[in-house]
Amino acid sequence: MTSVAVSAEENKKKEKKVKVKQPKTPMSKEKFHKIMFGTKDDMGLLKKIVVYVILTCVGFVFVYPLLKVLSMSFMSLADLLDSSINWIPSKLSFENYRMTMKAMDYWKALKDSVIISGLPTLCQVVSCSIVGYGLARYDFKGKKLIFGLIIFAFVLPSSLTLTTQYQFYNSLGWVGTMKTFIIPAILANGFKSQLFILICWSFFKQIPPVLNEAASIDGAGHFKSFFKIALPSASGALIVVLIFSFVWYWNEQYLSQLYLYSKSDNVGTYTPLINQLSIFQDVFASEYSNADGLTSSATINDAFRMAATILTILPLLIIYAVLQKQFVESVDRAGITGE
Amino acid sequence: MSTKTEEIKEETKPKKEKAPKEEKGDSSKKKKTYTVEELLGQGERMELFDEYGKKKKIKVKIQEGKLKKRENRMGYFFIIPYVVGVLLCLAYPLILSAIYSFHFVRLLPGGGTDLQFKGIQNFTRVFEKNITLSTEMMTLITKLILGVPLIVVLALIIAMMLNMKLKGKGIYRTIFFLPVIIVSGPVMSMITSESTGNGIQAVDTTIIEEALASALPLWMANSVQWVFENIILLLWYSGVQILIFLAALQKIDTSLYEAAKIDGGSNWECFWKITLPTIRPMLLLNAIYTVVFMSQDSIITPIVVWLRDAITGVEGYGYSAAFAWMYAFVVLIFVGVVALCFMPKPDVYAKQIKKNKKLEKKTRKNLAKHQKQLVKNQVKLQKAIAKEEKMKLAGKDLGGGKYDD
Repeated sequence: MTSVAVSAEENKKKEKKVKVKQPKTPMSKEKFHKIMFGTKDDMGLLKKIVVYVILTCVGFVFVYPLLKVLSMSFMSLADLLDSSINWIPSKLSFENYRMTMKAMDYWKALKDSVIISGLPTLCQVVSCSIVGYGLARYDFKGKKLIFGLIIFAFVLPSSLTLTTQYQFYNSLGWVGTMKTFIIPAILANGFKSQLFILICWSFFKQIPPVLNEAASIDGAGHFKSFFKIALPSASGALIVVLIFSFVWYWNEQYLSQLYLYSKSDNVGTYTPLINQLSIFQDVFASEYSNADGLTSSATINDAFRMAATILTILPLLIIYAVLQKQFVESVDRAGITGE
Repeated sequence: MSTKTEEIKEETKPKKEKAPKEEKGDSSKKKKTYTVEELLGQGERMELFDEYGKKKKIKVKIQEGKLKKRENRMGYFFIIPYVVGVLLCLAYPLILSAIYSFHFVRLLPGGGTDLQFKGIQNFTRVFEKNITLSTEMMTLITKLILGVPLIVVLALIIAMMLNMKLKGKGIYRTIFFLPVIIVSGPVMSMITSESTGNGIQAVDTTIIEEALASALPLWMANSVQWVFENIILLLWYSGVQILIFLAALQKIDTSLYEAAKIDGGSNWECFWKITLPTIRPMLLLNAIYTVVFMSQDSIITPIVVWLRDAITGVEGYGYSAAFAWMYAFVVLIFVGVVALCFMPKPDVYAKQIKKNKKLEKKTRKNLAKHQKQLVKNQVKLQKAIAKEEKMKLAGKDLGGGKYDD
């Protein structure tokens, strides 16, 4: 296949050459081949183009849902129904956002969301880095057992322990409070903690032990060397864990519904954005049909739902945009996993 | 690392210092030990083993520095939170749910529970309640079989492309890490919901689907069809995997490639001989991660939703525990199969070393046997000599050729 394409390309080039009346530096066939296909060390132009095209296409697929949702969220009802309008709405209707925010009780939900994903995340970053450091630096008996446990817990479907965990927390009186999220996170057993421990471990393992030795000669204890040497040099791991953990807690609709709603009155002490989103349709309907009566034009449509979606993940996008450089770099520098 | 160096040290240490100590230690048997040199005059190494071919214990055990030991004990302190967490949040609920799965559980108003042993009734009820369960399981497994390799391979290809020297690397990476945020969230369910669902189909696949439907059994055709329809969805699911692969690729020593290229290897060969073997553990990790992720995703399989309904349903905790265990069992088996498939094989040299060790052990055993025999003979001989000398001393000459045979 490619050879055919090659010859075609070459033929074209030859024709061009004839037309241009022999360029000043005649390009030999080998040189042309070299430029197009590259040498062993260097990629050829053709290959580079192919790579760029593929990456751009796949990249587009990756941003596509976001763009689609974004563009839909700005559309008015007329735009949605108009089949000629595909991507760009005829006019930006911020009305969607205004109404959606009101229906979602946005600021309170945002505050709740930040609390219930922020606090466990902080706890998890601390606890996972401590455990990861313990595993990376010290050689103690039973280390392999701990690793086995971590991997086992990682593979285990979470639905297995959900029932009894709920019951256990309930018997302790935690259900309906933040304790159900925070205490497991402090004990390094929160949401996907195993993965974070492994990430921290692989980062801490890369710190040369000489540093620790030097520190201990200078009189630093275990904790001092942990705080002053290990943590600063593994800041990349912390950022990765921070982002992942925050995002996953933010998006965890089921658990927050299970744990943060007390059973009796079915009203959560915290109603994070993600739960608002899941019940958005009903909330929206009740809000606007009651308030404005029949005159309301705001029957629920996709635009509102998309606006709600965007509003839900907007904080995540902002955080990602802020930390993105460090995030990408830390992946670059050390990798997020061990060998 | 450290144990290896210890072994080497131990071999190079002057043996005569240690040997007597060892003999003292073993002297409980009150037997005279013979070193190999004495008996056979063979290599020095054999001194490491006692007369029965066992490794001398004292020599292997090199005492760690006390400081090091004390320091390593600090490790326990660091992992205490995790151990406590596992006991509280994992082990206890796990055991409890295992018990529940065989019982009918009733919650008492005081907060206690009433257990009634039901045998495997809970498990049979799961099948009764969800008639399509086995079909869904098969569909899920086919989806996994088709989806996991696809995701892993796609992620690997994209990661390798991202790892090339390109301009605008940063932008591409920012985009490719974006699914980490999107996929786990509500955007996915919004996108896959009815109204926008048509938008993400890559190609019109009706013809392929019809052909598949006629050729394959229904559940299989359904899932193959599903892969074709959702190829873009699968692409989105490969965000974390791309991340992991990229990190692994960046760790490969570039001098390896340089060396290979000097030896005339092409890029293709480099990929198969260097890249793939190096990132093989990551392949395993990614495959397992994908299986775990997909089996927990409600878009992929409705079983997850059923499980969640079972918890709050009227059937009780016993039923939901049984359901969860059954599902977990299937998933764990699948994970095990994947792990077996991707598990890095011990490389040729390791194999050779193992083989040699085995051989050495065998020969050592034979040697020990031989040696024992020799020792016996020697003892006999000495006895005989002693006897003879005694006789000589006693002046009773019975003729010299007695012990010639």
